[in-house]
Amino acid sequence: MDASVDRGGDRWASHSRARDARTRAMTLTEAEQEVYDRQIRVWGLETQRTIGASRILVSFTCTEEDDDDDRGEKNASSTRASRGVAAETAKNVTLAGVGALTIRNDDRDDDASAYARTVGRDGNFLNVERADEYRAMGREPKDVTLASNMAQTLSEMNAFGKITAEDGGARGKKLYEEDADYFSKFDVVVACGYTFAEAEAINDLCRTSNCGFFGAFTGASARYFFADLGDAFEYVAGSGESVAAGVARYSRMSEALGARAGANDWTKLKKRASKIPLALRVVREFERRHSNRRATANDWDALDALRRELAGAFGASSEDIVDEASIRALLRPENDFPAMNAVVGGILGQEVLKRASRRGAPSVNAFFFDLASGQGFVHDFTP
Amino acid sequence: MEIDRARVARARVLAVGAGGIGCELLKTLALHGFENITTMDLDTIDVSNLNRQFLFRKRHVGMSKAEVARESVMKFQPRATIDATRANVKEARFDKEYFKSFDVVLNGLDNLEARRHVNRLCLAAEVPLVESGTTGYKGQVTVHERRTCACFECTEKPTPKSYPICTLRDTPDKPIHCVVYAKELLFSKLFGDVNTESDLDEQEAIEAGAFRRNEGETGTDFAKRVFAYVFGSKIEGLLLKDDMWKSRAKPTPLTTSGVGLDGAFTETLPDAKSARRAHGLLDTHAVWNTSECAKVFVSATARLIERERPVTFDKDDDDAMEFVTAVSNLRSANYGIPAQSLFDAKGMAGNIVHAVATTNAIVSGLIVIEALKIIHNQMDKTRYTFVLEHPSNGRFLQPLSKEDPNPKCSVCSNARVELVCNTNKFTKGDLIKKVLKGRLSVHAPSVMFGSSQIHETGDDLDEDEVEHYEALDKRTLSALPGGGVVNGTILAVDDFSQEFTFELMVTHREEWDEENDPDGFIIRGEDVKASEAVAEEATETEAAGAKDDDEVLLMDDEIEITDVKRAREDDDDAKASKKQRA
Repeated sequence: MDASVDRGGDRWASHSRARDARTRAMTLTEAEQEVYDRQIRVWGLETQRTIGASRILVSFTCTEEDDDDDRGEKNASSTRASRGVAAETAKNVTLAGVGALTIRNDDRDDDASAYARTVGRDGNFLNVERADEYRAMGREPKDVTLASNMAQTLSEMNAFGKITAEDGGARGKKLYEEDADYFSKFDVVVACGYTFAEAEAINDLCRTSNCGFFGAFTGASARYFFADLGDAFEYVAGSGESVAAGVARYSRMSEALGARAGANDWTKLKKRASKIPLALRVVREFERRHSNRRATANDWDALDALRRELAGAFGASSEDIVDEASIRALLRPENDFPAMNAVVGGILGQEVLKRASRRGAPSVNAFFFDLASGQGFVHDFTP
Repeated sequence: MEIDRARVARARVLAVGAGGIGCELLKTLALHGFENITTMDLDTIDVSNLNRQFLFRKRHVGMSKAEVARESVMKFQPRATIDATRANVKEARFDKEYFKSFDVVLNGLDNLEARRHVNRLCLAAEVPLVESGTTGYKGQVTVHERRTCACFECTEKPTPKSYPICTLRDTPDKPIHCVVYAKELLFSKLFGDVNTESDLDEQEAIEAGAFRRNEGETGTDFAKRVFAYVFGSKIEGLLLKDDMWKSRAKPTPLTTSGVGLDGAFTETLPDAKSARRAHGLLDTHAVWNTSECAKVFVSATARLIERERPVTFDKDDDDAMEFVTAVSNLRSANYGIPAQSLFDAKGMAGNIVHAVATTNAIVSGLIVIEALKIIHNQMDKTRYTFVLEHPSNGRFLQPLSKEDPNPKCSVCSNARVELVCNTNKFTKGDLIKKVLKGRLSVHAPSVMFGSSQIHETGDDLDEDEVEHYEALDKRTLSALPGGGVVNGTILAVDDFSQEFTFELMVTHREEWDEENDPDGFIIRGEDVKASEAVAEEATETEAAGAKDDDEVLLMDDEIEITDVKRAREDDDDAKASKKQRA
């Protein structure tokens, strides 16, 4: 049934075979084949092996979001949306059978790191109640960090890979303060909930260490992510007779969203195209001018002026080219919206796996999903 | 989107199915603050679920999906109340009144029959339905409500493919023909119910006792004798039929000596847990050579024949699956068809649908978004969404406006259905089993012919009624009491359990070409006629993607509906983007 895909996989395999052999036996065990049967039918045996050799970091922070939420019912589903996106993405790549996954909580607030404080209070479904289990192991539940509780759930979902928890707080630094050596331990880094400036710094570190970068962001009624897989990312796409090698060109997020980038987006916007990518340029520029503070609904007047200013400066056909709703969709969320996390975490998971396996045409270089249009689309911000 | 939290907490939601889509859906619903969730699933957890049904662990294998899903969700969302039952949604207790007790029904089902059943009950109960399906990277979410928009059955769904018996038995030319022969014909003949009629009961086979184990005959000797007949003398016999090979390549008979079966038969590891393992064949992705297939055939047959009959085929029964692979490949060797690995043969024989976690997660998010609109009385804002494998016009997720009700839909618009068959050969039993249950997914049909009841279903029937209807099953339509069902007769079909009533008009056709219409009947109506043309187009545009799925006989896991509309819209989109570029 899927023989064509497998043959494609074999042809493609020679690229990665050398590394594969170093890190892992060439064959999957019978137990792995049983568990992964349905997806091997989707992407083939060789891709499954490569995924099994990949090392992924999923790191999240929500200090830029409202973390002061312990007020019971009303805010039970809080604004910590980036945790939900991180949980969805980590779940998806862990289930796929990655060789190693590190889940990192970058919030320094020690109180927030005890897992029990937020069970059932945000979109982080990896944070499950295990007080009895921990006590049985002689551990005090309040000493268990959020990241390690999440890692415990992930390791139950993947018996074959190595799942590790890490705390930015305990390391005394945030992800963007780590050195290049740290990043070289990973093939792919997924950063959720950082400011644009922080994400751009992480992106630069990933470039230095040759690991794939994904930065995920949450808005009031939208979710989106950026990817940077380098100047020339080689991959193989298609199946059967139509297997073909391809090269994708990415740019750093800092270049793609730079102050002077994107002139074409402003002047050559297609009629039916979403205005959200342009709205993002407005929001990015706002943060640049406001010491990297995240824009909220209270900043509307400044944003309104800015959208007109940028439209004028870049020679857009109308100063109203970016509508209010598109900008508001990207502002700091007041409430989480787990259904959007599921959608974007799904697409993001797929893109991470494409990077890890070098199989399937990757998306260049951003993906957006917004509630109003219901569209999930790729936009190329590469200058 | 403004969310009224109290409204979400109060909303009564039925999530049908706790499998691939169901696990993701229950999670997303619970995280959104839905507190009143009911779920049901008949299935128990299997190892092959664990790559995506993330609420389940290895230790849960064999347990109820619905119940374990509930337990797992409660651990991260203790406030949710989930009523979970291991049950089949088609059970009589889940009737119209039951469905009325929900504000919205969300389907995460894996088979067309159950989806149609739920659709009919939602229509009867006037409860909005959010439908979904996934295969590999592709998926879809659609919204349905009585009168306001199309129902799930307003568009034609692809019917399971069946193959002409002569192609399967005498002139296969594709791997799937050999797999179906192995599973449906030879497996049933050798290990199934002895009293069931078989298309393999040809005169010379019966005379030679080809499929009957002789007294005192060892399992391996029996297997070798079956081998010699099925792959040898039977093929030699066919070669004598010159007409058959005028436009086809002739098959090549196999001999026991040619495949190394002469002499003593030995297994390298006789205690191994299945036939292939007894011969050291461990790689499920390897394609066995002919002599390996012969060995597996003998060992598997010898093992299966010792079991108590009837043995039912199960793709997860190693000996059964290895038997099917070996037989299929040996036939492929006869007919010059490429052989398959155990892995690939299993995919075909088990109708295994490809599945990954990500698509189910995406679809669950989309379902919940539509459900939120519905409970906030924003039915007008609901829409269909298609999840694409390759972005079309940059879009992975393609929203579309809902369709209007199809006035020619027999389910929501009371349109008449036409059955074309040979009324002198087609029996009432065929009508009930193949047409009403098999094709139209009627669960418990009653049929009125004029003023007399010719069929009823139910536990409350008297014994003599049951006998009466069974006796009628064997009669041809034209020989039914009351003048016979003939060309132009209109039957009234009713299913109380689905609150589904429609008229079936019978059209007689004398001549049937088995190659083109192996079923011996056609279901149509103006609705079907109209959509057939589009469906063909759709198949073409879907080309490579749909090809594999076309070979699927029955929908087994999360299924894809190759929606006519979807293909059409994709196509439109592609055209539109070409224009834009130009």
